[in-house]
Amino acid sequence: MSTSAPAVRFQSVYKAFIARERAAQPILALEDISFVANPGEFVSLVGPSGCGKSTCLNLVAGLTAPSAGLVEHQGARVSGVNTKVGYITQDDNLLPWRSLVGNVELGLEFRGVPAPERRRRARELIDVVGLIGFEHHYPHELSGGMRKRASIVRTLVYDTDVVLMDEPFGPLDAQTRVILQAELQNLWQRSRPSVLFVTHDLVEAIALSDRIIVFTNRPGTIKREYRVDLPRPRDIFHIHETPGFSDLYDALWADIRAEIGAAHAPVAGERIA
Amino acid sequence: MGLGNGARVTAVGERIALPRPPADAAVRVLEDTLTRRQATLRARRRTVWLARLGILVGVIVAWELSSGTLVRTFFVSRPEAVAARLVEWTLNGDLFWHGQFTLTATFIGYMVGALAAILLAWPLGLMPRAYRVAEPYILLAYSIPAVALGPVFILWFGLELLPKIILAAYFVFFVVFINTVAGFRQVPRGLIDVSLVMGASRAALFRTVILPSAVPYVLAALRATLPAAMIGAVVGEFIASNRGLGYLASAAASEYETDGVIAAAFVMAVIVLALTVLLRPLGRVTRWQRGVDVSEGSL
Amino acid sequence: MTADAAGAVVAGAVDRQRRTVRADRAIVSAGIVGLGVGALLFWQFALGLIIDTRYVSTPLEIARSIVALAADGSLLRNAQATLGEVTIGYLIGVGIGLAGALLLLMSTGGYEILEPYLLAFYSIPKIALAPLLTMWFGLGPTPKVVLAALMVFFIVFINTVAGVRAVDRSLVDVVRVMGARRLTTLRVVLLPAAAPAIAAAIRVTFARAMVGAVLAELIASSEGLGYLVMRASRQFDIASMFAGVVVIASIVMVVNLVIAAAERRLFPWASGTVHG
Repeated sequence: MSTSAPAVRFQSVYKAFIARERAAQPILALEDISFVANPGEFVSLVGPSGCGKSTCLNLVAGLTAPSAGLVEHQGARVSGVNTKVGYITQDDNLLPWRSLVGNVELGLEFRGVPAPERRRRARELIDVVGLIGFEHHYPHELSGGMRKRASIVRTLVYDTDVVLMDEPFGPLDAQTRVILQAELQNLWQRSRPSVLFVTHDLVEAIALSDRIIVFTNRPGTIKREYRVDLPRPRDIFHIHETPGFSDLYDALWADIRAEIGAAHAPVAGERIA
Repeated sequence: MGLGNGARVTAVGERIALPRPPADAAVRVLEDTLTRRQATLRARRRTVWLARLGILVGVIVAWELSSGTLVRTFFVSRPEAVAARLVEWTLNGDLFWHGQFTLTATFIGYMVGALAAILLAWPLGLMPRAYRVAEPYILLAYSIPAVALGPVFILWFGLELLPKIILAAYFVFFVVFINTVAGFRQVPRGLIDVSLVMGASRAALFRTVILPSAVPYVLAALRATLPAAMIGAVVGEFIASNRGLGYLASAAASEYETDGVIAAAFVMAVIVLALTVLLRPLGRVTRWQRGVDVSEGSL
Repeated sequence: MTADAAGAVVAGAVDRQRRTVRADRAIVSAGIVGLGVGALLFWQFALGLIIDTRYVSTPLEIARSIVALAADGSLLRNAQATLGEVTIGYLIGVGIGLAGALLLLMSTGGYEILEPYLLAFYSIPKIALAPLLTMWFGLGPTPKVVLAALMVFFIVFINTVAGVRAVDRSLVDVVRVMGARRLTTLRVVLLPAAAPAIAAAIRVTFARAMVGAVLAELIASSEGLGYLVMRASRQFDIASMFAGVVVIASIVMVVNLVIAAAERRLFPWASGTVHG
């Protein structure tokens, strides 16, 4: 693992799908995607729905393979399931039959970490997100925010150098979202992994990221990249008042709005076939 | 209903115990609401139970009065004749003697059928392609009405216990099989993907994700099929046998003893009901789960 | 330039995927055919080495027996008898099940009062009544029709009631606020919302009607497919016995396919699950 290699590198990546039904039309989800995420960098991917942002994460996790191009993790080509990254999916995907602590320990268990150490590391992170007292609750006994916290620490507990997050705060209410964003920033600063973070929420992207990559409509291409130079640690709760925030927000929103407008224009389907 | 009531009481109680004590007027409103609600619920429950009891008594009385007047006694017998027959069978030991054969066939058939189904469904549930190959034949076998095979089994295995066991097992097999396969196949893709990325080996994936996810389906099927096993055994006894509860019923029918037929049907119904109630906890054995439905009924 | 590159990528991906899907389908189809043919060949030629053919017959003999039964008209006659009983019993069961459910749903508190009886009657094996029915109605078609109807009635009844009761309360409240009365609510909201559950119940019950009729025929009858099987069994004519079983299973399968197709046409939006 050389320090010079980027944590994640996309080089001219294309991804095409065809649904299983007989007459299904092929869909080009990603077109000529090239970008890198550097070690310790927090990168957000934003763009209209269906633009292939989540597909990018699946490619890094090795759950799907590119149709053309190269996806690298720590300088090595990703082929097959990539167990060296952490993946926090949109659904919390907690195992319903395991208690909170059992779920948090899961990755360590798969990695053969002995039980006492597992327990210690799990408890430590459960404590950081304030869930002590709920360790033995089952997922259906926890609130949405608690489950989300659990799914985040479950991935962070085994310390990967890259963490993928797919709209982790999507279904939460506005207050819980902001609180969890602040908690995520704290957790991230403890071990500083590279993060690829997919979101629809521009405020969230600005508040958390070092860099924001804007995708176009399907087929997803990279429209623009923005560097977020706001100093860290950031005050997530008052991020709106930070100097420089509104300019960045306006620029991002102008890009996105153009894409949403394009989606409704009649030419949208043109490039698919 | 009782549960809903209890929950409401606590809710009101919590309200009263707010940090800031509510004004007297508010307390009165809360208490009034509570007492009124309890009174309505109590009255409603009383009416319902009285109506239920009324129906039961009404049916028995109507049966008694109409027998021999509106309907010939041959068709419906009389309540006291059926009761007398039940007492007679209990006292002379017929009930237990015949019951033991039916129940033995039921339980052995149940275990054989369930075990065979799980052992076959396990590999097929984990190998999607093998399952797709087997699927049309399983559906084919499933659409053979089990009763039509009764004579086949009797011919093959004689008049003793064995054909009844096989019929009982056959009644159990498909429901358990289909639900077990479904249990293995329905594991959410997301759970599997996340576990794989976390580094789960094949064995670990099976142990921690697939098996626990399938167990509720299997248990629900096991719960639903014990009565079916009994029905299988009884069908076997109807078709050909010289003992068992099914024989008791068909023997009475061939003698035109209506009270005996009704009494035997009553006993079977009670046993099936008892088995259903007995296995009800099987559906929810653990704290984490919320129960699974099996789409298959009693025959 | 990018448009060309993208086109090539899509074409390549599509091609690869099509090839995998085609290969996969070919393997499965070959497996299905192979398994079926293999089993038939085994039965025809090898099973006799293990078990006396007198007990298991052979596929060819069974086919021959089906042809013979068809030729002398007894197959058609008995199939007609059974189908008649099943169809009438099925229609009666569905009709009474629906009507009873509607009556119960329109009454106030009716469900609550009847609930324990419904549950008890639901779990009672209807098959246990077969001897009673043959005793009452003799050898003719009546006991078969009644048992078929009984097997169907309750599933339709309970699924209709359960389906309607499972409809989202707020849906009902909305039309109530708009001024709908009880009957209108039932017609406009409750029944359409429950339709998939009801339709699924109606679909799965045909096989049950067949079970009821065939069982009654096995116990006591002078015609019908169950009678055919039973007679063959008494004469130790294994081939005819299997011929009867094959015909019964085929009827159930064909009718199931027809009903399922009709259901998909009528309720394209729904794939209901059945309770019971």
